[in-house]
Amino acid sequence: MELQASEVASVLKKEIEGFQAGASTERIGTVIQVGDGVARVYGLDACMMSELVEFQGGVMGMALNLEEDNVGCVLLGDSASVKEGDIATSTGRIISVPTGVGLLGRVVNALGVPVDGKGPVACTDADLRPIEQEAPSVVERKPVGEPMMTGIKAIDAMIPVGRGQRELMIGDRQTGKTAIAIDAIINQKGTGGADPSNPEQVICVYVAIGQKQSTVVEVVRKLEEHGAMGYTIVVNASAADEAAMQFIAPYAGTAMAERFRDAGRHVLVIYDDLTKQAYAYRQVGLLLRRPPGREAYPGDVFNLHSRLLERSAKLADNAHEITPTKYSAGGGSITSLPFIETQEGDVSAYIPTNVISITDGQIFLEANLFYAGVRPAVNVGISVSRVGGSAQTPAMKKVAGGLRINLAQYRELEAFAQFGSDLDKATQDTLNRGARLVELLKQGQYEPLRNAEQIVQIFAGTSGLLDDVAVPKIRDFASGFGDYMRAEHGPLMEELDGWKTKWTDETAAAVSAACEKFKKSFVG
Amino acid sequence: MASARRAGTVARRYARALFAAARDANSLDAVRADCSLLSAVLVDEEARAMLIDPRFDARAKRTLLEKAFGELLHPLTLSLFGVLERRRRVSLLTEIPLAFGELDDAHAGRVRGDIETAHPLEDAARASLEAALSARTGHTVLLTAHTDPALLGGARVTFGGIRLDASVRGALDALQRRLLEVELR
Repeated sequence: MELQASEVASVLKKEIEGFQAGASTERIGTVIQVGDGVARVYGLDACMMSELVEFQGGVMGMALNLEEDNVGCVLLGDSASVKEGDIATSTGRIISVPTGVGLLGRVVNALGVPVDGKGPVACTDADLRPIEQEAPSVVERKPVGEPMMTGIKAIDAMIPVGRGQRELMIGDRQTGKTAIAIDAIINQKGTGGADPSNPEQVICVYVAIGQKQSTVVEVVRKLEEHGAMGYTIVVNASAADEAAMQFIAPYAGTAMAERFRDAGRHVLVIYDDLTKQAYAYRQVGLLLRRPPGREAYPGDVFNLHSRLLERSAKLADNAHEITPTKYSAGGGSITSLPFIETQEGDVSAYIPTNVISITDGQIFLEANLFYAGVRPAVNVGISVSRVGGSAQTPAMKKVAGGLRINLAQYRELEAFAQFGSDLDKATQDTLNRGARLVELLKQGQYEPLRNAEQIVQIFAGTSGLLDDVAVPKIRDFASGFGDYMRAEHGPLMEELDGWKTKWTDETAAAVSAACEKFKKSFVG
Repeated sequence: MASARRAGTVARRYARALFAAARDANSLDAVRADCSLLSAVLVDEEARAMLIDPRFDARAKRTLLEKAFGELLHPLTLSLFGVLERRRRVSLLTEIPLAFGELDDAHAGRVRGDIETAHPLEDAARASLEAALSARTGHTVLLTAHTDPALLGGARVTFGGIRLDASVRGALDALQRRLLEVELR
C-alpha cells in the first residue's frame, strides 16, 4: 500500500471540514478507590452490568458490581495509570471483540488486539461482536450427529466426540492435555485441506488462559510447523495478563467461534484451561468484595462455566429460517474441549465436579499411565462420551465395539500377569490381547491418524490379528499396516475415510487378508 | 470537580436518621442551617480538634457547644452530638453535614453541579443556564462557577453524573480522536 503525503493531507482536510463540533453529553463518575486491578467509581448512575467504562488515562474497565452508590469495575489495562479522583466515563457498550476470517492465523489477546507482531487485524467495526452472547435456544438446535475426529485412536475409538459436543479434558498437570488439543487441531487439516475458505474446513480456536507465554509460543510454533495456523485463531490471556483478561478470554474466543458457527461452519474451541479462568474470576470476585463461597469462589462460579459452555452447540439445519437475524446459515456447530487441571487426581474438588456436570462427557488423563508410557494417558475406564456415540462413523463403531470391554477385562486381570504360565488359557488370552490393545492405543505426538487408518489398526487389534505379533513390535506393526493399506488398498481406505461407510463382512475379510499378507513382509 | 469529598456509609446512616427526625419535627430549615453552621465552624482546624479529639472530656465539649451555640442550635442537632459522643462517632461530625445536604437536595429536587469556563462567568449567564437546565431536567439545578483556562472557550457543565461538554477543548479532543481513526485508503 503506497500512501502519498498529499493524499493523507487531503483526506484529513476533508475530515476537518466536515467536522461538526457539537456539545457532547457523557455519563461520568469519579474513581474513589483503585488497586489490585479493580476500581470503585462513584456516580455512573445509569451504568449497565458488564458495560465498558473508560478511565481518564485511556484504560478501559468493565463494570461488574453495581451497588447503591458506587460501581465496581475490573481494569482491563495497567491499573497504575488510574488514580483516585479520575473521571470515569460510561461508554454504553459492552466488551466486543473483532471476529471473522481476518483473525485466522493470528494470535490475539482477550480484547481481540493482535499480540503476534503481524500488524493490525483485518476487521472492521461491523465485525465487532459482544463477548457475552445468548446460547442458541432449544428450537435452534439439533442433536449431535457428525464426528469431530481428533485423530487419536484412544479417543476416536472409545470416547468419540461429536460436532457440537462439550467434552471435558481433565487431568493433573503434565499429563498431556495440551498435546491432545494440538493433535486435535492438526487433525482438522484433513477436513478441508487447511483451506479456511472451504466450507468443510473446521475452524479452530485455541484459548490459552493463564498459560506461560513460552507454552503458548511453543503451541503456535507447532501449529505453524504442521500447517494448522491457517484455520486457527489463538486467544492468549497469559499468566502475565490482568485477571480480568483471563476471566473474559473464553467468552471472547467463543464470540469469535460463533461468527463462524452462525454462518453454518464447524468450529472446534479449546479452553486451556478453565481452572485458571476460575482462579482469575475468584480473584476478581474477592477484590470486588463479593461474598466468598466454597473454596472462596464467588457464588456464581457454576454459571461462569455453564453459560460459556452452553454456547457450544449443534445448530439445526433450518436455524437461519427460525432466527434469520442471528444466523445466516443453519447446521453450524461449536465443539468445545474445556480443560480442567486437577490436583493429585482429585476430581471431586469444586471446579472439576462443576464442569464434569456441565459437559457431555470427560476424558481422564492419568499421571500414572503417563509415566508408565501409555501416551496419550487416557484412563479408558472412567472416561465417557455421553453423546458422541451417535456421531461415531458406523465402521469405527463396529470395529471398536469390543475394545472397551476387552480393556476392562484386561485391567481386572492385569495383577495376575506375573503368574504367567500358571494361568488358564482363557485368562492368558485376555492378558495377551489386552497388552496388545494397550500398546496399539499408544500414539506419538503430532501424529493424528485418518479415520481409515484408525479403523484398520483397531480392527487388527480387536479381531486378534495382532495376537501373534510381539508386544514391543505392535506400534511399528500397526503404523506400518496403516501405511501399507493406504498404499496397496487406496480405494478401500478412501471409502473407510467416509463417514457413512458401513463395515461389512467383505470389508473385514479384505482387511484380514491384507493383514496376513503384510505380516509376512513385516520384519519389525 | 463536584463534591470530591463524600460522606461515608456510616455518616450517611446518621444523616438519614437526623433528616427523618428533622422532617418529622418540621424543623428541616433549622437543622439545615445548623449543618451549614457546623461545617463552616469545622473548617477551622482548632475547632475541629477541640470537638473531635477524644482526649477532651465529652461533657466539657457538650457544655462548650451549648455555651457557644446554645441559642443557635436546634435541640435535634445537640442531641445528635450527644448520640455521636456516646457512640464514639464524633469524628463523623465533619461528614454528616455533607450527607445531610445530599439528602436535603434529593428531597427538595435540587441537583448541584459545576460549570467550568475559560473566562469568569457572569452571574446572569449562570442563572439563565441554570434555568434552562432546570427546565430540561425537571430538577432545580444549582451550578458553582469555576474557571479553567485550559478549556480555551465554551463551557463544561457537570451535574448529577452527567457531563455536558461544549468547550473548545472538548471539540478539539474529539477532532483529534476522529483524525486518528480516519481510514486511509
